[in-house]
Amino acid sequence: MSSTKRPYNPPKAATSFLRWFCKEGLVEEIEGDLYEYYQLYAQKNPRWKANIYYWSHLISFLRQYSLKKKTQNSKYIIMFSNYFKFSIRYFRKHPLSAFLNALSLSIGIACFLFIFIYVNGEFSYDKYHQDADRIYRVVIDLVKNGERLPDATTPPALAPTLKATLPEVEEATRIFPSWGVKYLMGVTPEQQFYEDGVYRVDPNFLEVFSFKAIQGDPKTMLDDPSKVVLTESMAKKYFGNEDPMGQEITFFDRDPMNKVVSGIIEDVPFNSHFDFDFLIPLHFEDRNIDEIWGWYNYYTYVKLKEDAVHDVFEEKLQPLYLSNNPADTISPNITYSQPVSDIHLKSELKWELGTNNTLSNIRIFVSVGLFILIISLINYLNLTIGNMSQRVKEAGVRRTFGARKISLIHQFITESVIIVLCSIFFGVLLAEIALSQMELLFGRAISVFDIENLRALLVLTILAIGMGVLAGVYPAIYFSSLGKSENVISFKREGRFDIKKMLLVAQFAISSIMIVGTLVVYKQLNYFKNADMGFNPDQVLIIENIGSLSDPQVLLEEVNKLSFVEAAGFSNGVVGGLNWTTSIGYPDQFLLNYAVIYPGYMDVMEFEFIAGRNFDSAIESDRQGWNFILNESALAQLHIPLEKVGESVVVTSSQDSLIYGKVIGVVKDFHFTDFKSAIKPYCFFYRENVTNNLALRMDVAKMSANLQALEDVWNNVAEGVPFETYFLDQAFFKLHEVEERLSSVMLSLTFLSVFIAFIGMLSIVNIAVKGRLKEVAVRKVLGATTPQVVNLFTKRFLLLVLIANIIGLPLAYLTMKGWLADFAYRTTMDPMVFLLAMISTIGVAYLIIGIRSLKVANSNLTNRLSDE
Amino acid sequence: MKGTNLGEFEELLLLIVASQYPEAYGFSVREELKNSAGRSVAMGAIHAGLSRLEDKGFLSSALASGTHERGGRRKRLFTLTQTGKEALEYNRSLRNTLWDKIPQLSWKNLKYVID
Repeated sequence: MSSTKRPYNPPKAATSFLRWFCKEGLVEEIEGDLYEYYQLYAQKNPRWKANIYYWSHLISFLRQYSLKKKTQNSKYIIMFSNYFKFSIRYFRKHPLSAFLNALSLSIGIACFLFIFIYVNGEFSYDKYHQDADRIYRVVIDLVKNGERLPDATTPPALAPTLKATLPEVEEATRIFPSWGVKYLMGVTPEQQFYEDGVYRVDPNFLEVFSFKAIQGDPKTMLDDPSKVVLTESMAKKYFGNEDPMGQEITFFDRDPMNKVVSGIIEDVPFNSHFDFDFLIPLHFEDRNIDEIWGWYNYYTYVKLKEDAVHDVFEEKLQPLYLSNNPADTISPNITYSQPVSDIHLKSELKWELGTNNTLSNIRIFVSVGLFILIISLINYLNLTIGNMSQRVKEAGVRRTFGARKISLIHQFITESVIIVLCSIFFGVLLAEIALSQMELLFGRAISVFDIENLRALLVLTILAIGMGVLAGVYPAIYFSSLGKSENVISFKREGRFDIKKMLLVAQFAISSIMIVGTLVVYKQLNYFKNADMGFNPDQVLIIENIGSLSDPQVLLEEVNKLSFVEAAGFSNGVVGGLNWTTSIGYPDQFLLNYAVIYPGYMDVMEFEFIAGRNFDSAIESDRQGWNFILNESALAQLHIPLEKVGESVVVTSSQDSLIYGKVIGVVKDFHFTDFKSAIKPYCFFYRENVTNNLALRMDVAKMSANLQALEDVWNNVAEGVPFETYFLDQAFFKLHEVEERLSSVMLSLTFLSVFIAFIGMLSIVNIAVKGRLKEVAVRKVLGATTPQVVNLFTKRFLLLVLIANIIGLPLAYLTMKGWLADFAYRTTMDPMVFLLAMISTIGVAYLIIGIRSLKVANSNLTNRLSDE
Repeated sequence: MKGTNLGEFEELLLLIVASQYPEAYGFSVREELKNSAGRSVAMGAIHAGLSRLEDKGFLSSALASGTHERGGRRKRLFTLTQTGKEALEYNRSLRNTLWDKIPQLSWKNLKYVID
């Protein structure tokens, strides 16, 4: 019956798969049985079903009985061990090129991993919260005089109103941080510490943000003003191994408060824009802050309902704000919200809770990482291709003895993959070492083997192996395309289009881009370090915790008696740190930053007076009303001419009445925040009851003795309050921490990239020189001088480096112009930077080529000629 | 007698090969196993089983010429050996002896186990 019918054909792929894995002696009978089976099934069943059955029966032969034996008798194993053996022999014969090859690739891999991991961490900020995609921070742009001043803080009434009126809001919660104030805390009198990581929060804080509770119930941890929540490490610090739950901890605020530990939560992870150690419920005995719209000092976060649309919520924000702030309708402030996970990289508001990074910095890091990886991969390709000339005979002999194209390809791929695998191993090792060294820099411990980094490792491995295969395939195809005899006899000269040269140009272009980048970042940092700040932060010591003293005046008197103290004065804030703001101006109002100080403070900071005088403690009126010292910007915005200084002028208005004040003095503009922001209006008031910091300018000659003397004075006055100080210039430098970090990483990476390019150049020159030894010998015999021989090589390569610079420098200019645009005060990109990049790349290239060719030119070349 | 113990599956294979004499091969054995015992077994298992029995000496095999149904491929025909026959007989007699030892009484009062 079946003989009359046309047979059904089983799937071809399956059959060839069977032939591939099955023992040769068994293939025929198994194939026959399966075929018969298929005929039977295909008759009764649809084709696809029969195919599936066929496949499943075929798979059932994947057992020891029928599988080919992959032992030393398998031709695959034999061939592979042959490839492997030849690869190892080749590496042994050319240890330097193999080593350089692996080294440059390892460095590239390490840099890429390192940067990827760092950037990965930066992007992970605040994503650990459950429902992080529904959590938003509501912020405000304060509008004054048509100018928008973005601010992260909002009125305390905002959060409760949002929750009560907007159906989209599931929870709204507020944070009131310690604003730089340090609280003295302790369990026993002996065990007291100053803490600034204290957040006052709404009871629902832990419902909006996910911090794992280690002890206690997150729902009730914060529901009573007497409670306090500690992080795990704080619990350890204060209670050791005891059970902290239910224990009392004392806050020495104005009046000491006893709080009961009601919960322990995990430490705030590094990738949070929060930084706290203690949570206390927000509570005021005497006021209901839920109705206050006039203060701007609370952070407001909302968690939207699952089905809520963010745009709808956003649209309702501003009308809601306006309806509660009718006074603001003329030039209303603008409220909006930002996703919590965007804060770290995209938000640059005033009063951010943590030190944020910027996307442009991240972009620089990523491109630098990619650049180095590209450079090292190019290097790798270049070296492998470059070494081809030495392999021509080998390939020719192989081909003559009957090696097929595919086995040539296998040979080169094996070699290439061995190098790549070694490089991955060492690269990962290097990255791991670098990361462990950088723990301080990043403020956290990182490992290549953390789960979140495994993806990077995987991508890199695939990329590198792909590259290895590619680098193996290129020479293989190149060789096999040549005729057999041609290979044995001679090496074909390369044409004008040379991939090696192009890659070399790319490498040096990238190197000069990176050199320019590093120089510009350094210049900017230097600009900032050497810039005229408008005051002198050197030698200024800040003593904190003045608020805890019963009589600060005594301290001031005592300190002034010390011979090494040049000037001293109280202030309620530090330049470069936080300061207060108020509205001022007539007819248009603007935001004025201010500090409350003692006259001595102006001498400590060495502000430069351009008009008027300093405060005088003998003049009563200096301590009253709107009598102040302004900076130039403030004076300009108030439209007060210099000659009116010291006279009574209109400074602002309240409702309809004008308010008069007096400008006592004017100081030159000074930088009180980082260089990214333009100098804003600033002023000083003089009041009796300043209780925050004591700033003093001191002689730093005998530093430790002087500090000891100061501490003695303090201890006499302070009744047990700890003595805590810091130098202002250090604090001020922290403002540019991110740039500092960027520059140090950039410097080392640039060094590495130039180093890799250097290796690349060295190897290429090496190959070129080796290939032309005979030519050089003949030239020498015919009377060529050493410089002529050196010239022979340098000319060609220097031209390449020049081309690289011509391509790279404009790109560098554009990139760094974009980076500098972030700064209000910035250095110029003078031609010297570009010249330096050009000179250094050309210089390095010249050095390598020169030394190498000089060696050849001076060697005894007759040996070369008598060879063969 | 060690080494000649037959598993249940092996015994079935031997019996089928014997019953199909002289035309027993992988595919036919599988079909018979499916038709008479209602067991659908993967082809790989059948082949592996037959080959194992051959290794134990219970079966011998030879390649026979291909047919049209097999796309012209040869098949391996299996036949029972003397040792194979003895193993089957041993199994059978062992069973018979045990059956004979069952007291008649035990056939009464059997319980159904309902689970």
